[in-house]
Amino acid sequence: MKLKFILFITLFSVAFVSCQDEMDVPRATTGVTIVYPDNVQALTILEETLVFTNVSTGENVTVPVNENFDLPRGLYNCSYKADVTYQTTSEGATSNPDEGEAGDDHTQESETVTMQGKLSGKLESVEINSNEKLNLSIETFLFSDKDDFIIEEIFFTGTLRSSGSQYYGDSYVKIYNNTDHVLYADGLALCESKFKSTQYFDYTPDIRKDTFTVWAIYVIPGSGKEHPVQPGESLILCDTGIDHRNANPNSFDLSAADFEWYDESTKPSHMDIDSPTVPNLDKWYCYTLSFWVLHNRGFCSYALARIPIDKETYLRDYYYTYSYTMYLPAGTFPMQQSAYKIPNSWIVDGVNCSVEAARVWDILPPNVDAGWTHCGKIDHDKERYFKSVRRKVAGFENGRCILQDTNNSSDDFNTECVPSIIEQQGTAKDAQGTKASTVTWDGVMPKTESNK
Amino acid sequence: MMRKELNIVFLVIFVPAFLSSVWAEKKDTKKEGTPVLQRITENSSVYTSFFSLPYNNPVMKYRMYDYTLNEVSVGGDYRNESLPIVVQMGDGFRYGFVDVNSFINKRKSSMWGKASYRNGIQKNVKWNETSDYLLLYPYVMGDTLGGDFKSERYYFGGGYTAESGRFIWGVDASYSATLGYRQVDPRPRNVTGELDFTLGAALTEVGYYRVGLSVNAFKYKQKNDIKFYNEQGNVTLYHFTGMGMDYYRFRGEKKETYYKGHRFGGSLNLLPETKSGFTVNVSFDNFRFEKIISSLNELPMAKVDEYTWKAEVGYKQKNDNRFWGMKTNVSNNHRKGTENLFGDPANDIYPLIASAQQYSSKQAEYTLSGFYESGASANFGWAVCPNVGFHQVSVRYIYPMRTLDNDRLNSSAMVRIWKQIRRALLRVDGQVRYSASLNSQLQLSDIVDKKTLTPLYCNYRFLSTDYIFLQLALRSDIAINRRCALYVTAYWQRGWYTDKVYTDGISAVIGVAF
Repeated sequence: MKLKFILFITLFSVAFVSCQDEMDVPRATTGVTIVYPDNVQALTILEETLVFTNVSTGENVTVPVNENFDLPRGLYNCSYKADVTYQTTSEGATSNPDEGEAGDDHTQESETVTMQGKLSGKLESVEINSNEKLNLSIETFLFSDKDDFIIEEIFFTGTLRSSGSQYYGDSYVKIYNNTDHVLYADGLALCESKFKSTQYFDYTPDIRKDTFTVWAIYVIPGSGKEHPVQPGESLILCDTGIDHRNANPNSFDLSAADFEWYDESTKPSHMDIDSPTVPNLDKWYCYTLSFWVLHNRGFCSYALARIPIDKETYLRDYYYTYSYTMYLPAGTFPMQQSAYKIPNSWIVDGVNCSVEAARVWDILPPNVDAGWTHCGKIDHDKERYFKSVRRKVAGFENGRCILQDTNNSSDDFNTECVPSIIEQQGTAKDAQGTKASTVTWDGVMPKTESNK
Repeated sequence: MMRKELNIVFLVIFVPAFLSSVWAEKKDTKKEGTPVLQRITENSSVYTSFFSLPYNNPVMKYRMYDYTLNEVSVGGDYRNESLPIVVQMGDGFRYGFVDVNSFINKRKSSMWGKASYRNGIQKNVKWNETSDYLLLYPYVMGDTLGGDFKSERYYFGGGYTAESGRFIWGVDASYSATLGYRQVDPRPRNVTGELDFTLGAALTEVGYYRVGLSVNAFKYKQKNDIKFYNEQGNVTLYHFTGMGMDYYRFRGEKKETYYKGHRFGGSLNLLPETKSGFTVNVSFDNFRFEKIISSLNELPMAKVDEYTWKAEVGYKQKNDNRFWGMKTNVSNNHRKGTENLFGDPANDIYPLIASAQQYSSKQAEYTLSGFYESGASANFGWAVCPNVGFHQVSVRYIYPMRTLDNDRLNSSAMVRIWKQIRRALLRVDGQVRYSASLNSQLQLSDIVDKKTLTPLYCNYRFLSTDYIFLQLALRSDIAINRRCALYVTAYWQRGWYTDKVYTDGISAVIGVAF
């Protein structure tokens, strides 16, 4: 009986025992200090937002700028944006020449002008995992107009044949004159990053903050005034400037493009096509022994640069060697590679590209591009084909389209758009051959009679 | 290739099992003269199988059945659901199988064995590309596409228990392996392995009872890889974390994972030495496993810690050729899932920076069962088994807070009739099961991604509704001689859920009992 009693007691005690759950995830207190640029006078913040993105969950949390706040522990990306006014000093005539007498000197005095602008800054991969308050500081950059070309569109994904197989050769980059005066494209370089946004190593030396490591540089030829582009006009730089519909009815005609990148392949099985109708870009360097195609999964960053030195000097002086270590289950492997670098000060516009599910870092630093854009959400996304990234329309001025350029491609670009050339030519926008029927300014805003 | 594998399975597993069963049956001196139909009737009686929990301890299987009985069978199993009840397990299956089952009584020992091979298709599995969903939930890998899932399963196990004075010791071990795959994109290739080992000891004649103790160890492994052959790319792969959540950071193309886990447990048992008396049993186990993403440098994404308590208290009584019994079962299960958080993956190494217990699933079940059986060893008999129970489920995801609660009242009644006519034995089982949802609540906050909620909504729909099931099973044995019988079984099941959703199940088996 005693044994039975013990067993009964055991039974009914365990039946109602249950373990306690956690009531909340562990959190940490955080504060952020915004570091404003030194060289800006009378900076006034009109509106500002500070957003923490939890890398593990994808959750965006908007937090107050100058207060402490609690966040679930984890890894975060943090971005700061602000609309600001600031003062700048410009040279201006303060005396009226009509009122003076002949021979008077017209003194040039500086004038203080209040400007509107945008500040942005970001922190990547911030570990919020401390028992004590974590103090972060974000360096911000004031967007400055380089008064040069900007990247209007990148079509890197390519098209598909009706069989569903990939077609190569019809990728392109559109560059745009967003200013109010004529720009000359001569000497403008199109560059693709060597690093991928989906894989990051501790590189030695780490020169990312000041330079852009590239593996393809193609330059628009010319002596300086040969390729004028009017305000609101574009140039198309393409892979192969032919009518691709002959090879793939789902593709489009690039025989009227402005330039193509042509490579003299050393691989007989992978030869490039030199279009008779489209002039070639001047190839300064490319990693491949066959022909260059834009990274069609969208892991690379792109930049337009004005290289102020000649080709030979550049190729001689801007080659560097870096090292890093790969840690794999099979062992630890010290690696060493070499590449060309472009100082960030030469870059007139840059765009970071990645895919959400695989992105690890932004290759271009925040003072060039404080964001990133994409076609496809995962690596090898089968939905990415026939889509491009296109810069948003900011407004119109005297019939000229002004594109948005805040040095933040997350804000400035529409993602996964029907490419502009497909819209204009009404060609296929999917592997089934469905024709594009709407023409837009930026992949979203339709062109209508009123805004054409 | 498949035929070759089948032949190997037959040669390696079934033929030795069959021969050893025949040999053992001949050596079974005590019951050699008992006709096969009588052995079948008595070993399959409700009375014998009414208590269930004590038999997890191998020593309690000593003389569990009165007679040695071996069965070799081949059959097929089919199920179809008009909508998937658990979407991660598909909307039906088709399996073919070969089984060998054996229970052998010797003078001072009992032994048992089972070997089986199963091959078939699980239909229309979605949001899950991982095998053994019920073991590994919620940390499975899945996608929106899914499809039919082929699998082969091999199982062999056995046990031995022997009496030595007032002491009985016993051991039970089993191994099973499964290969799951699909031959169109997405192409999972899952290889699982399970090793289960139980050791038990008991003291006999403590009053009228046998008091036993067992310890159990279980080891589990699964390699879960997915390939895509489509050159255009692939759909998004999700690493689910429960309640419609997934590990957002590792979405996409992390296609190689594996699971490794183990379970330790034990039980205390009290069982009457004779046909009548009380039973009291309590068992406890702790199951832990880890999900590792191999394609991210062996990243330990999440781990599960699960505690299960079970108890069974009952009484059964034999009066002449009539039997009756009652029992109550209580079980309590708590599964806690902890997600690991990782820092900046410089150099392809993801440093572990924190862990958070995000998932919790609690289940409690209270059941009261009874039976009355007449004529278990006679030419004609019948039995009735009513059952009523209360089942409570409470699932939580901590941040963002998501809760699911469901209380159900389950009931069933089974009626069995059997009749022996000369050399034939016919048995009919009819059962009706009704389950009513008493209370059901699903609360979701901060919905980040509606797409990943699809499986949660699908499953909750059926969790929160009532259903009724009808089941009918027929078994017919024809004695070839005194020792051996051929048998066929047929099984039919139909279930009705609300909204005209139904399920159908059919199985058929042909076998030899000796």
